[in-house]
Amino acid sequence: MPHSSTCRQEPIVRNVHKVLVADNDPVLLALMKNLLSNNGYEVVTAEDGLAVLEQLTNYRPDVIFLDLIMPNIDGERLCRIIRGLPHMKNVSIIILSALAAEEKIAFADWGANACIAKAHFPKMSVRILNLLRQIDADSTDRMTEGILGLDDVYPREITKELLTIKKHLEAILSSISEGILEITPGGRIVYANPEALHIIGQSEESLLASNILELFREEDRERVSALIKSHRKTISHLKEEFPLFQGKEISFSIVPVRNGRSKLIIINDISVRKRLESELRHAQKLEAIGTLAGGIAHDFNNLLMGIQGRISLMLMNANEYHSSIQHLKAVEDIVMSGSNLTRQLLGFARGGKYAVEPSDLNEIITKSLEMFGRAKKELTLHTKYQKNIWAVEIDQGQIEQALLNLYINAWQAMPGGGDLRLETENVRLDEDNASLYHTIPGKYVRITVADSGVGMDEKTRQRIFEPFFTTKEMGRGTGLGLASTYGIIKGHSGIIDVKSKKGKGTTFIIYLPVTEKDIAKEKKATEELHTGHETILVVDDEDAVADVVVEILGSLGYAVMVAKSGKEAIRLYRENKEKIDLVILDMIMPQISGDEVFDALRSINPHVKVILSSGYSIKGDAAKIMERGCRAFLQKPFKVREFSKTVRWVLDM
Amino acid sequence: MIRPMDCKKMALTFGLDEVEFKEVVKLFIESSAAQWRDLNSAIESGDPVKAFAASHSIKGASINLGLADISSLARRIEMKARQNTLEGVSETAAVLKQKIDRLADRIGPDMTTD
Repeated sequence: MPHSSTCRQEPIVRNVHKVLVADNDPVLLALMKNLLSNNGYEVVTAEDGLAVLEQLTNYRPDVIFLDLIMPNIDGERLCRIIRGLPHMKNVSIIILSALAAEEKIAFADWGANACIAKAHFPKMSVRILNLLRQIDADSTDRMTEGILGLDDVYPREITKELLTIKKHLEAILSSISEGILEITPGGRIVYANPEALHIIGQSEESLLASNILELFREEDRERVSALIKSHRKTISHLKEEFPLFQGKEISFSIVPVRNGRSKLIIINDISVRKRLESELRHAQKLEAIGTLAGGIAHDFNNLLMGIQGRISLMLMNANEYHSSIQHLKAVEDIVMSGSNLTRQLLGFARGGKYAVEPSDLNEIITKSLEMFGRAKKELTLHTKYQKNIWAVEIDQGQIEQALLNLYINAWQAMPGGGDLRLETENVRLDEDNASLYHTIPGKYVRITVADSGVGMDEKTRQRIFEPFFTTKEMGRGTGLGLASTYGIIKGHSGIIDVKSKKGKGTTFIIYLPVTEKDIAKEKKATEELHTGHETILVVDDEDAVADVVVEILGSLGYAVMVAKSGKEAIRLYRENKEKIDLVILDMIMPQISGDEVFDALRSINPHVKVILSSGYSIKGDAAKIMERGCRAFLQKPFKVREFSKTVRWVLDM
Repeated sequence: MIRPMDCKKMALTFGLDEVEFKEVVKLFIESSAAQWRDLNSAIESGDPVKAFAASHSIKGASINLGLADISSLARRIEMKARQNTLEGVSETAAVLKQKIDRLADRIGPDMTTD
């Protein structure tokens, strides 16, 4: 029965001499001390993890025995910490475990060399001594595979629950959004949760066992040290903000651990919080302005409609040549400008999502570009459309307005001409990109509007969507165009971003969420008629045509003048150029041709708005006139709706 | 009935002399008595986590010393506690206390028989 190996042995020349045994069980400590010193080893004991660390400040053991379950710091963590100590790299660590049978203990992962199951001590002794001799004989970093002495221990069961609890707590600590550190009374860090590691910017291996004061600047260390020490027995919190903790602003709470000697330090990165707060404030500010503007705009529109209505009535009953007619018409114009303004305001206030339908963005862009491009001849248009573009559910009118504002912005940035590039693309935003834009991942259509214009500096770029912000001189810009675009895109749950470089150009990028619904092909029926109250000069030598056009325009609300020949047109225009807002000019006429009339009109008023109409196609002569600054072209016969739209569109230019 | 312990024999297996061995047993009695007090208060306050820790400690030490009765009783409590229940544990704990207390008598100076 007595085991010979437990008898006293003669010490041989050996490398392994100093041993540290850590276990909270005094019985085991006594037995180990007895065993090891009888066999020629120098033994130091410790009852818990903190005591171990304190011992290790001036004791250099060759072998450390660690119990797995101890108060303050458990064996696994202690193991990692010890391995992290620079002077302890070569020490052999042997885990003593009463749990070994229950669960696979990945002691190798923690940096331990071997694991011995707790058992009847005489049997354990054999293994312990064998292991020590093995370590002595071989190099010290050879791992012993498997756990020694498992056969004597009770089979599994227990620990699963304990380890589940442990894992559960670790899971909680890992997902807390605050950084948590645990420190010994001496300030040694013995635990750090993932958030703390993230804030501090170090790995667990390098942080554990280092002193918390090392994280602070020299000049702050005394203050921090005093703060930590000052909370010996009270369970209270101290919140202080330490600027420039490794470049970050952090808040710092100290919580003594109940029934323990260590302390918890809770740290929060405030710089992130502050940035988020300022972003939130900014967003709230824009939202507040938007709500205010939207409210005003709505009320305003109602008033404007009231004014317009009265004016219409007066005009209906007034004598054509009454002098007041001029004034009434002038008021109409002003009312129109007012409602343009409110329309922009409403756009910005995101009040503009009225009639959404699944749409093909390529079509919409094409349409809007056609009208825009033809009129702005100095620009070179480059387009790249996504084939099989995904559908987006949008209010077409609003999106057209949003795009138009971007085109105008681009055009204004290129006074001498330049390139305007339009691209559409189907994209998928993944988690990372989506969170960058504060939106949800998924399918989007990306629209790129890029110009080669003057560009903006960073300060301007940051404010470009702000309402009433304009780089144009006083009175020239309302500063609402881009704000309106922003509001419209946001109202469609989209994203709009802008990149720019001074001197190089500006690029607007829009993301609109995709819908799985089908695009409504035939939507003509719902299109409204565009009306107005401007004065239009219709020039056509054909009675039939002229009369019809006059009728149509009249029913749309416009005031109409007619000229049946080029000569008459020029005369009428010269006499009424203040009043006439638009000229609809027929191409083919006797005596003077359309393009001659056009040139004549232009010499009277270089900014004259002319729509060319013709029974012929746009090719040939018409194209030449278009190049010379005609705003639009109407192919006869034209449908009333399209006609009303074009008329309205050119008038609005 | 009190079962005496053959201290001389046991001491040998532990590589201790009899006096040393008895000292170790006394150490065990003291520390497990303290652990038992923790266990008892845990049972009274219905704290399975604390009960687990205390019974686990008693189990560990008793395994080392080869005290099979005590270690199996402690293990029984440990297993219950990890199932988050303390039902029926007080009876087991009472028996455990008895066994620990009786240890002192079992290592009495007059016992030398097998």
